[in-house]
Amino acid sequence: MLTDESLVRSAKQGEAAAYAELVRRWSAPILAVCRARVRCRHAAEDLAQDTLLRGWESIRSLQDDRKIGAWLRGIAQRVCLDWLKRHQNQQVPFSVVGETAKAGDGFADDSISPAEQLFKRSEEERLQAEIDRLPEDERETLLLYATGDWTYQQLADLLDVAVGTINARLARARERICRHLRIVRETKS
Amino acid sequence: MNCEHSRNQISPWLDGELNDSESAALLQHLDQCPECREFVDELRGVNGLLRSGADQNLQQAHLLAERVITQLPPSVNRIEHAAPAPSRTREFLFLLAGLAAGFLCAWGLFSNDSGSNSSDDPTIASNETEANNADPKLNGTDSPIALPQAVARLVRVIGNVSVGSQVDVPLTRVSQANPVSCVAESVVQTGPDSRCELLLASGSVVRLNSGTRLLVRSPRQVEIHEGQLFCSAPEGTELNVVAVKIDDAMSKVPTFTCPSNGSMWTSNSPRGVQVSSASGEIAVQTSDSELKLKTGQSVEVIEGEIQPVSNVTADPLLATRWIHPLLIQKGAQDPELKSRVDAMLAKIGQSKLSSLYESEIRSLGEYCVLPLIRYLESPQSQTEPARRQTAARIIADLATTWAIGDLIVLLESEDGVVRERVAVALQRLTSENHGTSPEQWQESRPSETLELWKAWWSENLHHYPSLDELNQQEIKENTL
Repeated sequence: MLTDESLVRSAKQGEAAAYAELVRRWSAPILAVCRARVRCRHAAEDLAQDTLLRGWESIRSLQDDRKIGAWLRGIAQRVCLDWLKRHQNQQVPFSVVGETAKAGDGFADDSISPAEQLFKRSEEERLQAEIDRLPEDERETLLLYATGDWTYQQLADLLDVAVGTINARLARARERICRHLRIVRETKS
Repeated sequence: MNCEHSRNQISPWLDGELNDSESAALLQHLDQCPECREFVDELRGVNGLLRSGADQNLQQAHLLAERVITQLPPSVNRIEHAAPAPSRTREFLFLLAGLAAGFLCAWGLFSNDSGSNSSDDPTIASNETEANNADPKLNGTDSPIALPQAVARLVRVIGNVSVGSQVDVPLTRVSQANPVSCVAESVVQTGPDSRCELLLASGSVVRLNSGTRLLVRSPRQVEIHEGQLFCSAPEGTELNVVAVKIDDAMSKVPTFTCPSNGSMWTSNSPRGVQVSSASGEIAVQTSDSELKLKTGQSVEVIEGEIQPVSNVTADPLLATRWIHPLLIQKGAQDPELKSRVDAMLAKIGQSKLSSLYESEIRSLGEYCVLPLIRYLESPQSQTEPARRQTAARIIADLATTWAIGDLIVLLESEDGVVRERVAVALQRLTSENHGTSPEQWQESRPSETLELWKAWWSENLHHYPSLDELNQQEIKENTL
């Protein structure tokens, strides 16, 4: 069975099929990273695609063949940062987009209370909006964790942090979401 | 443990990250603390929402991956080569190349799977040798690496099912919309309330119940690490199932061989391994002993020792009813579903558990209707009045509009109860009775009303899609 490391070695030799396999393995985590950075589903797809194609173009610059995931994540962060800089003045808060906007199409708006913001949305949309309101590191960890059956250790290796940090981020993120959803429920009732 | 500490532990506990003593301490606290228990329920709710959102994101990611792959160079080229514009032909070649790479998320390619015999299926290797010699057209003739070929396909997925192309990589969640192929050494895992079915390249079928972890070694061997599986081997081939616990010494690992045309189910839990033969003679082998299980027999293997099953073995039909949701996915005309409905119907009236069999048949919903109609049409039903009437009662409750034509034919039944139940079903489905109530049908068989029903059907049948048409429609929707 081919490991990421051996696929990277083959990809460095120009073997597109090997890189295709890496794309299949890493598309979901990279999409999650982009989604966490830009908080816009459609933009995240384009940015993840851009990231994976840039990965192919520069695969030979990867130093440690075992760390393709962390390396692609680094590219994704840069790609997203560029995009955010370009779109800094174009962000549209939810309150302007209106009630018909779907979660993830716009950006979370910090100017109104969570209860007001979430009141009229479906549970799924509320959850999406709550994820958007999380601090970026918690959001990224939570979205990454949801892409597969990661252990905390694997996620810690990918994000280059301690296992305890993963634990704390996931616990805090879920508690925040719980708390806000409870506020919404109580406000409604 | 106080509440603050408990709150910090609940999230990793739900993720399976606590060790046994930490879990025990937390459970002890939860036992005494309703507030923390409520928090557990809330977190579970959030996790459930996150999982459903994740499924959608994973489908997006699969599509994204295929879009990226179509923009990679078409064959074995140096990376200095500029990527040419994508074309339909190249996209197709890359889908195939991706398959050779072994972990294909293939929309459309697999959506019309018959689930029966894979011997003429070009998308998966037929044995281990072929698996290591993938078609050069797929890999590129001058490929510097030999990419392995698929040895199995995940053909049915219900709920949370994850696949990894090797033991130590993170698993990727898959869905019915995005079935995957598995190379040798792939891991398949089902979550709670989830099921899946694998078609191996040898033609064997392996179905996993919820909470099961399987390693696909080759087209003829799988390893069950935990959970429960049902498998069957086709004519001319055997399937070896090895029940492994990660911490077990290899010498204690039992192997079960499902023979040609045989089927069996096995469960692997911390308490031990249990295996039962559903059909055919199953060979059970440990380092010390060996025996053959006849149809209906079961044994337990605990610490490498083969022992008789301590509990009375459940009826195979009931013990393996968890496979029914998978059979339903194959449609109402699936022969395996029909044979199971027939077998359960045969148990009604013969067993103290009759009501269990009836409720199990009913749990299949409209999918049990066609097998029951075929039973009522069979000569066998003429000699089994009680069973015949049970079948008619179930049909009356569960039939949908595609059954109208068959139901009208059943109005000619000799059995008044059958006619009455069929008339109830027809009235429910069409809001018509043509002047004869169900009660009247029980008393007599008015030929003039029967003619009215037939005339009505010839005028109206185009309003009601047949089962074939509904199946075609479903296939089309799935393909799109």
